[in-house]
Amino acid sequence: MNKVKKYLIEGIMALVSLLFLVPLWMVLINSFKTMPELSEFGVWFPKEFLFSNYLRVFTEGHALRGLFNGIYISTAIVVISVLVSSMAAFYISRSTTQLSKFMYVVFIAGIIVPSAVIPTYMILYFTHLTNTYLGLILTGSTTALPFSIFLYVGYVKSVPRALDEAALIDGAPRWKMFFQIIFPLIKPATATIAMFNFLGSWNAVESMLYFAGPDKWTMPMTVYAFYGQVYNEWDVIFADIIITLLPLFIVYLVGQKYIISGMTAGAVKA
Amino acid sequence: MKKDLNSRIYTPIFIMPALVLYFIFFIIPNVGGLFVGFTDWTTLYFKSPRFIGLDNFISMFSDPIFFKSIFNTFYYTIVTTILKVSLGLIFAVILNNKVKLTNLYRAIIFAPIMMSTVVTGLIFSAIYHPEKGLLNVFLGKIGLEVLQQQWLLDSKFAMNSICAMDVWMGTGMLMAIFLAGLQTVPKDFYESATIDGASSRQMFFKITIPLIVPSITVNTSLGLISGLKVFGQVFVLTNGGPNDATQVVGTFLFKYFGQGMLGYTSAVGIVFTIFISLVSYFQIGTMRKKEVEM
Repeated sequence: MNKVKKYLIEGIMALVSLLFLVPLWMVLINSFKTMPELSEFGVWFPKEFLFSNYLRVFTEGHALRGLFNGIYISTAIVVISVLVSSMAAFYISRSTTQLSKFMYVVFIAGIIVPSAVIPTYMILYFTHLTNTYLGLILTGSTTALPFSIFLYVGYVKSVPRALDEAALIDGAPRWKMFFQIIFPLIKPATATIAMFNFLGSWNAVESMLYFAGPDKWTMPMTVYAFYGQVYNEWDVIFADIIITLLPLFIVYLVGQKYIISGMTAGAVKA
Repeated sequence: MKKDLNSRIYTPIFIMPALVLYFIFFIIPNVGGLFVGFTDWTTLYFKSPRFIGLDNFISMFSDPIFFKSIFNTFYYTIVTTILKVSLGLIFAVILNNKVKLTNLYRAIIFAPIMMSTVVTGLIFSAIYHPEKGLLNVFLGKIGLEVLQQQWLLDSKFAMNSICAMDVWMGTGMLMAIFLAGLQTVPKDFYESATIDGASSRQMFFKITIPLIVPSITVNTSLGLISGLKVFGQVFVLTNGGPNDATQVVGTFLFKYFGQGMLGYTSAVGIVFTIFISLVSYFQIGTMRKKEVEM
């Protein structure tokens, strides 16, 4: 009886996994076909593997521009949010003043309260930052702040206070004490936060649509733009989707453990 | 003396860069939005916004499409949260019992979390395609033509089709959080329960569930908040159509923003922000009380 149950469960999980894999397989296999063969989006192999769709993605689909935009914008957001929120979290978790308690509440409120998109658009408009990389980077970093600070505050608490005092007695200035002694010790939190914020900004939809035009969009959004451009030519769209997913899945295969622990760490602590 | 040292080492200067960003791009917009919501500001007459009192709120609450989007947002949130939390918990419990390929299954089910909503949306547009789509092709191949539908074009099915995609995308995340939660349950609890002759069903409801209330809290909040904020999924699959059958607040806002109605969209934003904040606040509060202290 127990053995039957075991096989049954194994079978169910295999079937569930299939449900998750089939959509991706469908995209991959159909990206090598051309429109005449694509009378239906099946899961069978093509008559012959054609790479012409992929060529068109690069010549017409602005895939490289999307890749560049994505790397540029997301990296900048990661650097800014990591620096700025680790410093803020250090003050918040160390200082015992009323100010620091108040600031913690103010930042954490940002996890619950959604950002006001339209007034933010108007601020960007008045500062001439609509459709600029800088505008996307600054708003993206701000969006990342509350959760990053929240994670860092929890982590900084695990670093002994005695280290701060020892460094200062040695005569190091405060910023040096932070960046040379504390910051290296909170590396695990930094890895998690960097991963989380990179994915978040790489996959952002609303900020791209509201604040910038297609020439500033990150890779996933260029697929959407391309879809509007070629409309029913699904063969090229499939190829574009594969190109977009490829870098992410390489990252996923290499760093799966860190990504899962990163994505869940904050949630479990919360 | 202690206090002196405290304020000497830890200076508020450290918080300034974060605060400046947060102030300009989060606090000012949220507070400023309160004022914009009471004006007739449009991109067309950009330089001359007028104060119009509650007019925006009155027209919002007399707009049937607004109520439809509120209803749809609710429907979407409740359906996807229930499905994602229960499926996530079931998968997690199964995988926690060390099935042979646990790591592989976990990696596969979690993978969609990496993908952008927009890209996933396009993949599902292909799956739901009326003539060529994988779903209808599959139903045809196994002789179930009667079940073939215009998944996104028929207002009876459009909303549920979008929900199905969200469950596909989001279950992995919740499953991973449940798995982490399950690992905090001490193994000897189950051992002593087995000695006492408890059935696996009893153990699940009497030991597992009470001890993973924190993960249930977090997952329900995540489900509710992401559900209420839904935008990309609906935007790509139907953009609110057919006939506003899938209009949610996110797409409703974007539609009026596209028409340049800044005052009106800000007013909708205010109502919605208050709403989301209240839901998450109360939800976290009530679930917290049910936690078992370890």
